[in-house]
Amino acid sequence: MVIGGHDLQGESLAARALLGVVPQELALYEDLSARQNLRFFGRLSGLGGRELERLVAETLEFIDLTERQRERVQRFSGGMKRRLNIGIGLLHQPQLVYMDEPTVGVDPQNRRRILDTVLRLREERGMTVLYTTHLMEEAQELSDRVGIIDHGRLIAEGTVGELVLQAGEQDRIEIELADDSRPDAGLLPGLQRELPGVTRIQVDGSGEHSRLMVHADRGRQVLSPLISALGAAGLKLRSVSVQEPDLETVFLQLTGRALRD
Amino acid sequence: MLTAALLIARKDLHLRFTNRASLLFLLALPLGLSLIITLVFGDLDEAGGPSTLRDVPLGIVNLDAGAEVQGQAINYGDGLQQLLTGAAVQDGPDAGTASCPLATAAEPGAPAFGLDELFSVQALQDVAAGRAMVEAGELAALVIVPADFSARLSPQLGPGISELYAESPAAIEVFSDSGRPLEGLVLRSVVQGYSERLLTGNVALGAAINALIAQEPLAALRLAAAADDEAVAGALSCAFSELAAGARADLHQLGAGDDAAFKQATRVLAFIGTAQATFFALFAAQFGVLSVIEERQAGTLQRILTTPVTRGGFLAGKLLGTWVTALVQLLLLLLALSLFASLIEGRLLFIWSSDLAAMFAILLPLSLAVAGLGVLLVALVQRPEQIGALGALVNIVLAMSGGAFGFTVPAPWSWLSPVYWGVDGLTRLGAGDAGVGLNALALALQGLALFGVGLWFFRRRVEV
Repeated sequence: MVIGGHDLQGESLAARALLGVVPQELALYEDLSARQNLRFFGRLSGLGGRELERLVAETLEFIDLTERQRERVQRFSGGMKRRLNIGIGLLHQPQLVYMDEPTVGVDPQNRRRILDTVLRLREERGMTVLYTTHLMEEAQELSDRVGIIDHGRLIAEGTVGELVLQAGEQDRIEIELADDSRPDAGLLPGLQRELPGVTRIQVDGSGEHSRLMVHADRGRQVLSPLISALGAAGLKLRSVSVQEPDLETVFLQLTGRALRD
Repeated sequence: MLTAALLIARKDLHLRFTNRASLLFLLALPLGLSLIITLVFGDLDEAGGPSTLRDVPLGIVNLDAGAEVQGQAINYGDGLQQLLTGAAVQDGPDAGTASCPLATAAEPGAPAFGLDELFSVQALQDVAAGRAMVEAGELAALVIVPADFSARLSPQLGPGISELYAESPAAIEVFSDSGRPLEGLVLRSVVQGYSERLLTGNVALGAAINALIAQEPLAALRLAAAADDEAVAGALSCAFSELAAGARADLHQLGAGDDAAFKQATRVLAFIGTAQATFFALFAAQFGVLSVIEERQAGTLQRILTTPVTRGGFLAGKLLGTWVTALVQLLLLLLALSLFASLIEGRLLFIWSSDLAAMFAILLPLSLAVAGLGVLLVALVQRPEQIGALGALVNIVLAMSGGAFGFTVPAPWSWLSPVYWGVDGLTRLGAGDAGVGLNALALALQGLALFGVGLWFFRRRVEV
């Protein structure tokens, strides 16, 4: 593994100097204050003097712990400890930050704060963040590129869109028809041929409410011509929804539904 | 690496010395135990030696060639040998001669010391063989009377006496088994007492004057007249004062540095303090390096190793912090016990010497050795309970083999234990013997070797 041109085996110290780590488990000295924790790890990372003081102050501000910086960590809430845990990894402004499930066990407010922090790292500081998570919505929200690891192997990697394509998943447009609407037998095959990206159209339900399920590569692009064609055919619509495949769908598609230990 | 080690050590020391539980374990517990044992076994009101000793195996190499004073042959080495074997000791070279008129401390006809029950004395010819027997545990101690002992203690009345005896001291050497410090202390008192009897003129001056009177009866009259002369009396007093200052007994591992006999409580305190300080230093060191496992469990060890800090730097920091911890514990414990001994004795008394340089010469490497041992142990185990069990076992074995419990295994096995060198060094300091260079060297080498092996194991670990 190479970080910033330095091999992690051969040039371990140089590589580690460019790396910030935020472990999943809290790795803090509970008997030290937030400030003391930051200063200690900052010095180990090679910082000192005014630069250290400046970065400590900035980091405390960044993780919103300035007011509580001199309190012992053991008095902190779980969310505050999480934020400090992150702050230590960011203090020396590394080029690469590795975050291992940083939102495990935190309340929604702190989780939101942490996710915003990660987004700011990329946008404001230009850091590369390697973020591991089991929560697909986090990966989808935060990531430019996603890698899926199953049983210790990287089985897929790319943007979310690329992964969706890689998994063979499509958008699904679900249209509920009015009570008295029934599509003619020849309508649906014609639509499938005429609308680009539509791969399959099927009718579900034979009672009062019929539903059309349209599978398409890009659902939102075909939505407008699809609705126009259905209207022209005299069908009345009750509701329309588009379901785009998310990372969770892709993940399950790629890794299966068997439980992992 | 050094910067990282210093940072880690400073952090550890800050955490350790701001934590009440740590302070309790490191300082209060050993001090309390030492004082309790002293109060239980030391009789604060008694000034006598321990009464439980019997038939202590003792060797004496009497090299004293004797001396001739005014034509009379004397041999103070023989006198010491007779004293130790329990035979009668006579105040002078010729029993039955007149008592010394100037010897105010003389007690003519005083009962001889009866030490035959206390010591089982073996006369030896060879110093090296005797020392080997002590080291092997066959003898508790060896007394070496130098060839010029009598000659140096024989007063030659006349000008220049002060310079003559100030040149070099007359020295009896006593080597004792550091694992049997109580026996050593008792023997020290006996030898010291004998030396003082000689040096205060109780024997030596009497012998000289008796010989003088026997040779020239008129000398008695002249001496009596001279005693009335304030200037002459002062000159004689000064001469023998110098004589006393120039004579000593080099009591290795025994209390030759003290002028007065200690109370039993002080003796027990000296023994217990030496043993406890060394013994608890082992635990202090393990307590110190336990933080490695605590950091591993807390994840801070792994986090530190994601920074540009090597495993060697990390472990060196732990060694340094533990080293200082053990040193502080030793210093404070010895200081507190010395203050307690001062209370017992009613005077300021530094049991283990007031020579700070000598103290540090033994305490620094002793702390390093126990810290190195702690590093090795922590490199071998994964969980705190493992180091608790293994550490306690190792500590007790080392303490037993090294003499912290009042006995030791025969050399050279005892030399493998840092406790041996620590107890021996502290006992030497207590005896006023600052020659602890070998102890310091041995401890330093042990400490570095233990750390090196520990570091080797620690580096080989795939997972920290």
